[in-house]
Amino acid sequence: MESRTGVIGLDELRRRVARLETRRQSGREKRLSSGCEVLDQLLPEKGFRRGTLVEWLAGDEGGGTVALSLLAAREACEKSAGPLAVLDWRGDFYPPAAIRLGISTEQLLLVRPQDVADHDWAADQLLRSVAVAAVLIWPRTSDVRTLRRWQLAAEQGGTLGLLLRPAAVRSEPSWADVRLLVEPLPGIACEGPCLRITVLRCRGATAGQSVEVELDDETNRVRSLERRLHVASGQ
Amino acid sequence: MKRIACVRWNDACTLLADSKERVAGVKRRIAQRCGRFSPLVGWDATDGDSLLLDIGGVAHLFGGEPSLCNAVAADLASSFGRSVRGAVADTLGAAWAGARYGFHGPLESGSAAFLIIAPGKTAAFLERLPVEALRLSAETVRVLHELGLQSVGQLEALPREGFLSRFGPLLLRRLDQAFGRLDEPVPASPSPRQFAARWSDDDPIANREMIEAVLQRLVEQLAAQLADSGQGALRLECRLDFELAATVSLAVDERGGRRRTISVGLFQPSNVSAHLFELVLLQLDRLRIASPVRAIEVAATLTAPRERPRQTTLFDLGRVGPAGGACGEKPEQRSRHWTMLVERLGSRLGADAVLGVRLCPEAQPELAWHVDPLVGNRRRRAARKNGERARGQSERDEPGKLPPRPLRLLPRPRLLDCGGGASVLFDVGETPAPRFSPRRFRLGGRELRIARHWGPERIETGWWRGRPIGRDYFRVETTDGCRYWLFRRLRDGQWFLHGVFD
Repeated sequence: MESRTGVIGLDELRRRVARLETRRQSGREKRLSSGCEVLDQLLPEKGFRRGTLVEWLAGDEGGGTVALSLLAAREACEKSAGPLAVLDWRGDFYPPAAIRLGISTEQLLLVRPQDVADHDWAADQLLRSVAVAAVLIWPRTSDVRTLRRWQLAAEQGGTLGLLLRPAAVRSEPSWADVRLLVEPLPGIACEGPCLRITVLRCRGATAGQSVEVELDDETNRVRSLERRLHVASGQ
Repeated sequence: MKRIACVRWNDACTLLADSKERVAGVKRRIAQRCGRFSPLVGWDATDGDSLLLDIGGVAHLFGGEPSLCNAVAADLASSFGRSVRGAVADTLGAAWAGARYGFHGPLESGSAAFLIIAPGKTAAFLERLPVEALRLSAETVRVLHELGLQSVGQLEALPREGFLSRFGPLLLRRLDQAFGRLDEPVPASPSPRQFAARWSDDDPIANREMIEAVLQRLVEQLAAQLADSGQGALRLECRLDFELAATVSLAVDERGGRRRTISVGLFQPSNVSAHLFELVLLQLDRLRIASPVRAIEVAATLTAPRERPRQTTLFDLGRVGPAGGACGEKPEQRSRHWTMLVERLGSRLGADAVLGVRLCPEAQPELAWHVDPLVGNRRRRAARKNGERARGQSERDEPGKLPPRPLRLLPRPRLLDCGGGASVLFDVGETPAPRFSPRRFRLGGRELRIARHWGPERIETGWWRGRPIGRDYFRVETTDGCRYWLFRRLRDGQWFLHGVFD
């Protein structure tokens, strides 16, 4: 804690350094799969880091972004043995579909704040809590300070914050560890939705890399489209 | 052996026609008075005018059940001057049914009559009674009559499978309770506010810090009361009486001032004063104090025995929650964090904003799930203890068994052909059955062309609710690769957007 005169105590400084070092050392242990193997390969830590924010940008609705983010949430819930909190301020989140993706009712907490202030406060509380594995948020603000606060909260709680935002914000600054763009791929004869995931920003990874995947409706698993097409052409 | 007595007043209507406060007072006094005959006395929650006494193991103290009934009737007649009729049976449901439907014709004023159903004869007695004797809603009774089911015996003889989807869980529950297959305890009559602390002063205080200090002291007193009796608060009410009108939304109290009540729900019973005070403060922070406060009362309106820390299973602290252990935190630590988080959220956002989810066996998509408030909810805790949720839900929890559903479901289906002319076109297929499938539709000013579709998935249900629905659902993929959930209403062929596969 910084004192009022702005001088940081030696103990506090030691604690901060230790915290930074611990975070680096245990980065791999705290890795969470994105739920999508090919996407994991693009990320330097082969997945998301616990205690970070991940932004999922999408163009039009119906593009399958929420489903993808829920696969990451499912992994976080399994690894952390904690619940997924959904900040459903629009009131149209449909839990049976999330349950179909493998998230059990016992792992689902629905929070419905009324106004923006309550929403941002609730997001902060949920991210800060060690009891929550992941938080699904449709941010109602682009305020950098709010996002920074969430990032610090996620770091403190070790929670995975999944932020679903429109593609229009791609040029805005971000406090998220990873920023992904998800676009639907039309015209491919697959049963499940086909998507292109582009890594727009990730610490330690080259931006602009992308993978094309199919989300299997039956198994709730993600398959690399490249491999699938390759197999198909090989036959 | 369990024996329940149910007592009804012949002139219950006159009793209930009285003012609400007066009725509540009379009922409380009656229940307290009957405490001399039974350790557990309460009022039935369904009709509110049947007094219930658990007399299992106590009747012999009064010389047997007939003598006990006579003593109850005489005591009530002398104290309250009303004639009663009642019944004694093995189950609460049967006793209620006996008191209400076991007699023929009206009773003479001032007299009392009791029907004693011998132990083990409950089933035979119930089978003769009409279905109304099961404490069902008028709507359910009406539907049962339409189906030709008049007596409990007819209902009992039918296979149970269809009841749940047609009538919901209540019918089966009532049936099982009446026949003793499901335990139903006597609902204990709510005791007057036992846990409360009050402050008032002729010199009102306006300073927020002082108000907080008083509140803190009151919460500490309340927590001490709770701790002494081994109880924890599940719901707290904090009442502030203002000197003058603070806001127009406040109710006027008896002294012409204004009153504001803060209600705090808890996820787990607690008597830790610091925690309770933090929850109260979360709400107080949002309250604009525009005039001095002359009195403050803090009361625990819902309490439960404080649980000892003996968590042994994953979800011991609630239906929704963390299992713990994976992050280096001990399970009990994580559970404590979880409890505090849920209570903080509930305090600021309100109990209706912090919800657990459960699936319902309903085909209609918007009714296929239900939410339960996580805080201030004793029913949820009781249900968890009884393991109620396990039945019929675990199967539907398995992901593979659920049909494809969108992650966003519109609260109300949106009509797709509203004023835009032929915005949805159909392929009317060959014989024998016409086949409908959408080609394009208009959404938010854009025309979306449909590249592929899956379906129809026909859902026809809800006729027993009086609002039948018939829909053919299609999953469609537009030329942009986006997926939507549309349905065609069978009644008039209109198309609706119901969900988005986001």
